[in-house]
Amino acid sequence: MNIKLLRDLWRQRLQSLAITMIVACGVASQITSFSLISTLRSAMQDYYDAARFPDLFVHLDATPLSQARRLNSISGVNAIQARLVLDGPLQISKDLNDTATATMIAVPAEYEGGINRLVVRQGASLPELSRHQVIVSEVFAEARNLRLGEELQVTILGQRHDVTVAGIAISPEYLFQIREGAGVPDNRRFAVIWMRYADLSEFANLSGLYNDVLLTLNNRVPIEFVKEHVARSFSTRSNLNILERSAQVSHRYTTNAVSQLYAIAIVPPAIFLAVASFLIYIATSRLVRIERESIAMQRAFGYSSFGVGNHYFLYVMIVVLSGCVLGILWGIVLANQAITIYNEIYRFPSLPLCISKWSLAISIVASSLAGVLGGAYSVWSVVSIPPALGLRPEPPASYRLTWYDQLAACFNLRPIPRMVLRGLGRWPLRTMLGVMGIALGIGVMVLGSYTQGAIAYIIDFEFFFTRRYDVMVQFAPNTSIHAIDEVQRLPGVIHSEPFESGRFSIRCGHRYRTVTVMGIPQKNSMLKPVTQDLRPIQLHCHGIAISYSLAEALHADLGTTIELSSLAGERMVKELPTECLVTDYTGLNAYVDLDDFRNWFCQQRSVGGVYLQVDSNYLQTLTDALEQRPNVQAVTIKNAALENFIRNDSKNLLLFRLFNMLFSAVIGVGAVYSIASISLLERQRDLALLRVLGYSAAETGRVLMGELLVMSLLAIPVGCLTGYWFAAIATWMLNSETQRIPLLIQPSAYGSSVLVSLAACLISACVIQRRVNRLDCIAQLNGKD
Amino acid sequence: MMPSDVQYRLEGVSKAFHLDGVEVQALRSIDLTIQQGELIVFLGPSGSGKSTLLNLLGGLDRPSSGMVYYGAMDLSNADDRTLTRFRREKLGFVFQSYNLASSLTAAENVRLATDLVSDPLPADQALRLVGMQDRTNHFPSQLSGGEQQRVAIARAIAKRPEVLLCDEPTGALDIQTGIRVLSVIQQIHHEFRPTVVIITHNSVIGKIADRVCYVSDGRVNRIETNQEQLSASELQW
Repeated sequence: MNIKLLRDLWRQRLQSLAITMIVACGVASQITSFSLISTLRSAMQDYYDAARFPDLFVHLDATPLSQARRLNSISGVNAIQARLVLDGPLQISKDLNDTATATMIAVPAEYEGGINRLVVRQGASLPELSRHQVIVSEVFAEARNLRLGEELQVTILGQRHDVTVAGIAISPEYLFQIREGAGVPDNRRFAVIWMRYADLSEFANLSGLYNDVLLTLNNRVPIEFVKEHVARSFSTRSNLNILERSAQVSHRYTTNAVSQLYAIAIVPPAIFLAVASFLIYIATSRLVRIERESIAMQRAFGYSSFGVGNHYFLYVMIVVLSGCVLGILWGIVLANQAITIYNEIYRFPSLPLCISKWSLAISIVASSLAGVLGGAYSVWSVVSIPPALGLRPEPPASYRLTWYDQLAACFNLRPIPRMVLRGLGRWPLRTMLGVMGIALGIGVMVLGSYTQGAIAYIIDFEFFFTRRYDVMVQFAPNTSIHAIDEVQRLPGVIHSEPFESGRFSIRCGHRYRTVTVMGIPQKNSMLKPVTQDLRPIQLHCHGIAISYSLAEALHADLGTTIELSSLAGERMVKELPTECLVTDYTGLNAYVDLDDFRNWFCQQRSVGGVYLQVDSNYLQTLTDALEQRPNVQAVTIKNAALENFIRNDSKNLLLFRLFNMLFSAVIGVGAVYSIASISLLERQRDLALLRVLGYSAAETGRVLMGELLVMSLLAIPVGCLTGYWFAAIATWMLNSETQRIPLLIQPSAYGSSVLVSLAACLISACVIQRRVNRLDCIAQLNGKD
Repeated sequence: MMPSDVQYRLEGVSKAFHLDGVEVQALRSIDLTIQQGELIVFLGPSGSGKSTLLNLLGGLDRPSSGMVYYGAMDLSNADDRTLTRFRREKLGFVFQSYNLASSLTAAENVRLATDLVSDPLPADQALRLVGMQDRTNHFPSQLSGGEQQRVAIARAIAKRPEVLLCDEPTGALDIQTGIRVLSVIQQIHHEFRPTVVIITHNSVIGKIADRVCYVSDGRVNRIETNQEQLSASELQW
């Protein structure tokens, strides 16, 4: 029996290899994703523990340091760190033309080294800094090729200060470095720098004050209790914003990335194993039919049903478990490659690959199950036939004239096309499964291609359709409204449009989120949020427009009243009806009319920012001029942000696309080849007959090619529909509050998938044709396999 | 009718197979001619080499050494395309296990052959010749063994082949059905005068032939010419 097993494996090697590869793809996808999940989660946990990452983040107006200590007495608080955090423009001496925005952090000596510790990669640590020396974040240093000793200029309150890079570090707070409210990371233009408290407080005239405090908590007291007491402690302070760790921007993005990985860990493996199971069913059912007599003979010799069935069970297990082992090894290699990409995006002290033991066990169990489910029925149906019955030659397959024979007669079809049609019609379930196999290949390819099209759509939508400005200027708080006219007069400015923005806590019932609310003019032209049918939103009755995703997070709908609490300046609360739902793809966004915003939340005669349309020839001159202005806090050039989006998002979704494109090729060729190969096995007697009668090898091959062609044509619409549903599932699983992917499949995604599938059919057809050419006609007609 | 022109000429034909490193000599130095229009029977036990000989005559295989000529055509060195055209234009095959395409009706099985040549017998006429005119739209699974074999003969003769090669045509049939099938072959031979080659282990069938070649151990040991051929209906075994 063992020799027969080896012989069967060798005889079916290509077909078995196709199934093995499909199993390997599914397992590799699962191993990679689960390994990345456990790697990221354990690295994050270790990093947070070692650096004592805070549980609560509090931002407020400048407050005397002496008042921070009383937070220590709140029950449940383990440790605190009070600090100064300010934003301002940053220039690099060697590259003055490319200005960045920096978040500057200074921790008083008494709080240094306690919680939220930095990991210094190069140079000095915080206590080792001398006067006017700073530590810069690693991603920014890499993006700008900064070295120790380089000169920087920070602008605070309109004054430029020279500082020197003395260290390069990472922080758990900026594990994923992105500016709050930015939507996409921009490592070239957003820096985090840490400096001595004495320096920053001197630059900002805030000596003895702090405006940010971090707290670590113990588990004994509910976090809500602590938040309530913190809020009470600062009840007299304005600008209070208390965030839990889950709302902290870097943590939020990182955990969202982990959630996205679950989608890759579940959907593709399930699809691949389902396809493998189906192909095993087809392969074993045809194999045992062909070996019907041999099986009966083995049983007649005294082998039990179980013994004979066990032979096929072992065959199936060898095929699937080889795929499983290959998939595990492949998954580990892919996970290692993925970690290199993740290391560029997320900054951990170290990111060692952590193979999930559970995923190994799940892979083995799932692939075995796929094999058993696929092979069990067909094997049992043959081994259960009594030997006496099985030893008789199988009677010719019974056919009947049906409706498609009348159709064939109408078209006066020749015998070979009739053989094709009857072969397909005789076993409709098998044909349907064959069509489904090819359709699944197309579906997986549609899934692989659609993300690329979806990202192109997001880019077009977010950067050209919604944001029509070239430059966004954010002013320092309380900047006079006259700043708009001053900016308008700068060289290269074609058109300007003011806006307001502020951080708000938006609440609906017990649900709330912290978001940036934009105040935009009614007749806006540079920022055009749109509704689902892509019409610009209309804001006119003191209402608010919010993203669909925000509405979903708050369980709000059109007309629902939501509460806005300002987190900057004087604490103000406003209840507004939801007037419009906005379609967008990054972040959580909310919009109110500019005049309403100013009336409710701003000091009169002040402006928050301005959108500019500029002559591209003057872009650099204008940027320089803007940086010189003391009231300018940040300048965002849309095209630079776009480049960053493409770079970063490509990396984020690269893995997903890579998996799908690679795997879809395997599934395409694997499924088509398996089906064609099994068909050859079953029809080889007919094919041998045709060859003997005088049909050429190419004419003979048409029986199989015709079958493959009909199944492929039927599979095209089914595959496109399957691809749409795969994409819908992936969209649902990948969508998060920070990023959403539209369920928009470009015609080119369908087109390329169908073409690739047809190419897979063609390649399989060529291989099968070669086998037809080499068919041993004599052996076939004498009834030998 | 006495045969006239030479249809096949075999000169020192040998055929060896290599199975798992062991050489099996199926045919050994056969010299033979088959005349056009002759009905010749190769008689021998299982494994004697008669099927191998039929394969060489049918252009399904090539000899290891020696030459096989069909008229002036050298079959021993012909390429695959030439052999395919040879089978298409010149030969009709009848097999022991019928080898009908199970997905085609009787008429369609015949049409499978008639599609290959320019001036075939209409499928209906071919089926009428073998007495199967009432079963034209039946699939093989709806026909008895004898009926299937008669359809196979109709398929073979519908091309108006120059040669009809029959491999144990009665091997899977009972006596009565076998005699019926042989009658059909004999009738076709009388009516269309193709060269008919029958291989069988049943010595009785030799009585309907012009000549009988006794094959054993890969050799043609003896050739007997029947002065008088029996009608298939007179046979008994």
